[in-house]
Amino acid sequence: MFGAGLSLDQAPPFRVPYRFFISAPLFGIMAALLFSLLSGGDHRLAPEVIVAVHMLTIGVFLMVMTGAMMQMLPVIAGAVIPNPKRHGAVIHLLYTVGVLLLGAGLYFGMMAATASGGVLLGVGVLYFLILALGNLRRVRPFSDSVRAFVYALSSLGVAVGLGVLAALYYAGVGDYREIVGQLHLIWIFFGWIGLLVIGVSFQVVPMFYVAEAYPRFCRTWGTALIFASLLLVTLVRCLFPEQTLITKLAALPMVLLYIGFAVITIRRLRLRKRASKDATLFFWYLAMGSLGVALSLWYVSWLVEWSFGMESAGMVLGYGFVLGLISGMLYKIIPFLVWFHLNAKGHFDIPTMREMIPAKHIRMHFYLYLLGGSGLFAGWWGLVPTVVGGALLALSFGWWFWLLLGVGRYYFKQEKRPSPMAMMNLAQ
Amino acid sequence: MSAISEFMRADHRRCDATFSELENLAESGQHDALSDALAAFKKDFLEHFAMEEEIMFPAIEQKTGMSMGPTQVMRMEHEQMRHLMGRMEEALKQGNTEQFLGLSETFMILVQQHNMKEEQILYTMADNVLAAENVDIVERMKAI
Repeated sequence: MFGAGLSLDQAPPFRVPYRFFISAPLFGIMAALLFSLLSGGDHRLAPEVIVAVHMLTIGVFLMVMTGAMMQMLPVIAGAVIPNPKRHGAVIHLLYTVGVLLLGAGLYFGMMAATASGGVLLGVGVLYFLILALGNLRRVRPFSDSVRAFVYALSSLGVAVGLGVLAALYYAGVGDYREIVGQLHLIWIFFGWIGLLVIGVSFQVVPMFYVAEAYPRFCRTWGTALIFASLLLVTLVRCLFPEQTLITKLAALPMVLLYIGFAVITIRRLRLRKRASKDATLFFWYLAMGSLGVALSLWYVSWLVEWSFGMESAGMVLGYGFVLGLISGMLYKIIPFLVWFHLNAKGHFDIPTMREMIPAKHIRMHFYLYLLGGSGLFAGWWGLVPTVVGGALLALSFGWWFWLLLGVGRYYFKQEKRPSPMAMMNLAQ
Repeated sequence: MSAISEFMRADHRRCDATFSELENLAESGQHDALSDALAAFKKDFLEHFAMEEEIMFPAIEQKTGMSMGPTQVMRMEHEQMRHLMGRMEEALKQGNTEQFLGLSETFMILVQQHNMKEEQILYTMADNVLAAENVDIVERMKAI
């Protein structure tokens, strides 16, 4: 209703990001069900685990982050994406079909499905990268967040390339599977996800929690240093195919930089001016705490080859850091978008965002989420049957889905009402 | 060169700080102090709007010849915020703190995403197109 061609009227329609957000918990439920199918013994490379991990990293993490990027690029970076509805639908379809095919292929050992799923995902990510980087290219000046986004998106490109290689090795081509798989993981978590989180934090932490800005050095050099530290890890790992002390030491700068980021963020949040203790704050603390703990534990365990520590660290990183942050952020983003779009259509009588999802329901999700995490951990280490762990995880994802579905249904119902002020303010 | 954006960014942060004090009062149930704080915040933030709507936006519009462009969208968002502010005042009058906090949270996010757009795009644009007169513009805004 703002009219065409206004460069600041950049919010894409609600259904663009929502399509991605609402799919995430469903893939989470699938991952949980797969987990519950695990049988005992050494299951690190069991098909269930590999498929469940991809359901989480692609179906949940990549899904939400792409949806959030479609929403954020115009607002945080000023990069307007033309035709967001069409692009969003195409990317979402490629991701969904791609991850389902890949999962089915890996699970049932069907090469054709694995390969076509991998190709669809590759095309989907490439499509998104070209769209995002193409629109970011025109943004001037490059803010600290935009720079972080560019590094994050570039890392995603590297990670997907490595993922394709890993898939080829999986199919029996070449024998560098271990190195490529490890680098793929590193670029996903510390390139794409980590740098994106940093770029968002630079904006969100000071603004929404009214905290002090991140130190200048951290903003101007931090992301470049992290990107360089990833290149160092990759280079050294390629030069020394055998895992040695040198390859491990090469990862130290990356580990320290991220621990630094977690510590700075926690300090910023603790010293925030806005006292309000909403549920999202718990998710933030949990996520940053998990990042610091996971990295320290992972690195030390890696040095001494302690697999219990390394695998536990992986769970804390994925579940505590990434999933925790995503869960918390969506409780701010979705209700706000609902309010924003309906308000812009002239519906002034709608509830505030606090009333759209009651705080006690979010708190309930936080507890279920912690319970699901315990289920994951206990199930993995055989303390409880995986069926129990999987059920707890599924419960947490299910409740998450139910809450997100409720806000979406509310929006689509209200959207159909005739706008009481189709013309308001335009004449001002 | 960047006088306008620096000045306006600082003003955003100043308003943020006043606003979070206001919210803190509401959370701790200090009703008497709250209405004074709300009045003080309202003054600050209407002044900020006035600086933009009466001085900076017209100057940008004059230079770029775009009156239906970004400045118009920013005016619309200002209108949304004024409306929310009115509802916050009403909630306070009725002594409905829960309602007030719900509105204030919505207000906060609306303001922040608005500020991001201004700081990322509009102020940079102002620095560029008003480079020659930026000190003068800041002086005139301060005078409001």
